[in-house]
Amino acid sequence: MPHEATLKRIGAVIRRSLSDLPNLPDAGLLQESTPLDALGLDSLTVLDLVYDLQQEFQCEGDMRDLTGLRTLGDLAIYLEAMEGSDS
Amino acid sequence: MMRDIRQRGEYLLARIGLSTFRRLPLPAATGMAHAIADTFYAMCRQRRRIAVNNILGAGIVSEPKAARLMARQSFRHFAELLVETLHADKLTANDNNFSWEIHPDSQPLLDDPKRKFILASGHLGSWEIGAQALSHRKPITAVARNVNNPYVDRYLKKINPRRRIRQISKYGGQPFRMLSMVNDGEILALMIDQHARQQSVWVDFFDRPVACYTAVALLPLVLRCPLCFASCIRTAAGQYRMTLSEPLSVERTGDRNADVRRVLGDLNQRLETAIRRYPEQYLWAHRRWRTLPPHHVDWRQNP
Repeated sequence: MPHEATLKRIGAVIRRSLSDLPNLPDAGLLQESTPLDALGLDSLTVLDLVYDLQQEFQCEGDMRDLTGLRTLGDLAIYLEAMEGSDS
Repeated sequence: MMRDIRQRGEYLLARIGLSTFRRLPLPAATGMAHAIADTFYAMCRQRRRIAVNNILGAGIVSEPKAARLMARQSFRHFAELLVETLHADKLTANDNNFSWEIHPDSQPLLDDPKRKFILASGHLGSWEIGAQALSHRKPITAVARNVNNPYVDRYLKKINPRRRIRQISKYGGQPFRMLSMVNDGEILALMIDQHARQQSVWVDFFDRPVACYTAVALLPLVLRCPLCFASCIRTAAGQYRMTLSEPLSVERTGDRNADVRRVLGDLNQRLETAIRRYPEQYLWAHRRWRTLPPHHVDWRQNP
């Protein structure tokens, strides 16, 4: 599981940012293959999450790339590549 | 069944009304729109009461009689805006109809074909005309919502009075799409004074708390693109003053809620200042103070 540590950090951000979402999967169910759609995000909560992920990973860049990602694993790969780009 | 009959009836009225307004010369259409606005003001007690309460609550005037007069002017202004929107092609094609007050720091945002920015505005003045006039200088995208009546919605899409503006749906199924709404070289226009039913942040507007959507603040924070405030005021029939502010300070501190509250507070303060100058051109009949924060004393009369 090469992205396990990253997934744990993403999971922590998700739980912190999206704690109000009613259908948020349990922490244990957030895995590399979890579809981003399963998080129950809407157009407003997605911006909260991206802000907090940028903060956690100190990254900037063209966030439009996120629109093509499908799973938490894709997100982990993307954030690992972008980490520190804001520093 | 009854609903369908009602919707078809509304569609018929809308089609006759809109096609008449489009065919009439602007002065005649405006006169007719004022008459309809006066009738609506007289008959629609609920909207009239909302407008008068909002005007009094905002402290624009203190006397109910003056508030009623201003509410009526506001109804007329809105009716005129609808007519202007139907005549927007002609109105915005002639730049002599516009005086432009663009902050020097924002001019490069308009001039550089590769730069993008977010434009925030409110339901003040001739916002539809302003957006279309601006689109002659740079492409504009706006978030649009379908009309509830599907027949009217289809008709509006067919005549498409906002054809110069790229419209994207508010309710797409792909939430990450929000991040791709601002294309390079384009303006994304967002309204800041819609009541937020969910995921809202409370900020003061005329010294009263209002629930605001956070997207207009979060998008520039997340995408790191400039944010400006704009308004388009009608100065005479068919004449407008378009104002574009300097790029606002949008800094990340790491405290998301504080950052969002600061940006929204700034935007609402700018809108309030603009409304105080032209209160008769604000859409007072919409329920900006629809709900109040918990434990807040209700100042509204018959909310």
